[in-house]
Amino acid sequence: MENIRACQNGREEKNFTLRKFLLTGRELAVESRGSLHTGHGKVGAAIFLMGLGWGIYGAVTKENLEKWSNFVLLADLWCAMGLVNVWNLQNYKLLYLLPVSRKDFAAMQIRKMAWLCLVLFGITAVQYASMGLGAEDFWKLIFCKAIPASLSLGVYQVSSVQPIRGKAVNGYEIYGLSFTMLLLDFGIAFLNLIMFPATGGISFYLLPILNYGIGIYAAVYLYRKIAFAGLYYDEL
Amino acid sequence: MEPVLRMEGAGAERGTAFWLRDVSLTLEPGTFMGVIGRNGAGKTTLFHMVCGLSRITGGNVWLDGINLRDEPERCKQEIGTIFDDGYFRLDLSASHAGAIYGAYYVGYSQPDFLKYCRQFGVDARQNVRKMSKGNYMRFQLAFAMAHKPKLILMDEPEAGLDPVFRREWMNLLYDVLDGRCSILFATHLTEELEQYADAVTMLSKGRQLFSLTMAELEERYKIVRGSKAQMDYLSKRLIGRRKMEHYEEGLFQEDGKELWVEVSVSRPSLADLMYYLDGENGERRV
Repeated sequence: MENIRACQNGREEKNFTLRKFLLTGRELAVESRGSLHTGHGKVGAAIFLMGLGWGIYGAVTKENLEKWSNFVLLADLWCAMGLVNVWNLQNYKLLYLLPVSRKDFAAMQIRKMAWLCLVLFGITAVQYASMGLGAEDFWKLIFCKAIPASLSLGVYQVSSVQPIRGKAVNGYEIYGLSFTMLLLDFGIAFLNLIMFPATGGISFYLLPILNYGIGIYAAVYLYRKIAFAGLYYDEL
Repeated sequence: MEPVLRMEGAGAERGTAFWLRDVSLTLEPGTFMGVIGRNGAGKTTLFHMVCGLSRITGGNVWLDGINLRDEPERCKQEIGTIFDDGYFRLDLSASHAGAIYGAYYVGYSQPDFLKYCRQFGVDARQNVRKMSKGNYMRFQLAFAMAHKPKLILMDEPEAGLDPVFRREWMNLLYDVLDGRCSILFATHLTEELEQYADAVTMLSKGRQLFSLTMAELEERYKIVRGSKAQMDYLSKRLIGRRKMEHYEEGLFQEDGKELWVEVSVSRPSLADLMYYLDGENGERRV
């Protein structure tokens, strides 16, 4: 929001800078505070805390990686759902009514997604760290599981804004595809977190590579969907 | 001085259907313009075009000299909206809603917002969803005033409110705005408009019938009353007529010529204009 002010005061600034990312963090703090006064936000916070507790419980009580992984997945999923519910005071109606361009609004959602990814990554990393793995296994899990899975789950933040309803068609593209995109994105993250093929083989790296690819594609797809859609509110 | 709002041949069309066509109006700074018309006339579409919810497919709209089609974000900075629908997240408290949504506006001030809330008797800690309709309108007005817009759009906000509140609301608007910004106000309450509006735009079936100041309106249209014979004599010059118990009445558009008959001439009310220009009984010849 501060960033919008800067742009409107004539200082053209790119949408993806460290300054804007940090400002978004501050906005999220305000949004979380406001959101905790709403029923929606309270439920979101409860889900987030439940996910966190579940993850920590799993990490400290289970004996092997296969059993841990279910807890990691569920903890990440719940934390993502909880935070998205806390951080969704902006919606598609406002996109059309407030004085902000679609591109800026879309960029704002991507920055929020980046914050969500960071939080999810932190949670996953803490869980892997508390499993008492060797350093090599730990870093393997961080690069192959924690980073791509948090990226994929973070995409939920962008899709939750629903700038265009599922079935709306603007003459060029069918935007209902976004739901399929989200399913694919979540599906690959789930598989990547749960499955543990033999380490060292190509099959171990196949899922993370797919996870990175689909996660990045989904984020870019949803960003473009919000930023460049040619539809107006009355045409939805 | 640049008009706050200028529309030239503006319209909203979609495919072969049109919602609004060829609207031209000028709203000067500090003035209050009423928009009247029957249900489905295009009033809401007109408001949606101005605030960016509807696509402008024809003509142009300028807000304070800025073309709305070229720079919609800059234009939206200058608009305050008071609508019946809940565009805010209604489960927020008024003060949080102000802080979160106000941050999008360059001129927004949270202390001003809280000051206006106190002035209008709105509890800033109250959940927006739990506010009465009247308080929700006051909250929207406080929010709009806090970002210092040049134009306030009000789309039938008074529907379902009691007559005392409606009068208090209009007085509040007049006291608070005090010529600081212009108002475009769609309503069915023509009596209130007659008291407060400086200009009126009338829409019918997606087209504009007129956009005139109250003085121009008074000069252009007259209500004539007389016997059947007198009205028959004038019938070709009347826009519409109706039979009353003891006399007949018609709407007459000033054409600069003498009437040549002794009929009573008076100023038409806005309800009369709507009846004759857009009603089924009126012979529409504008």
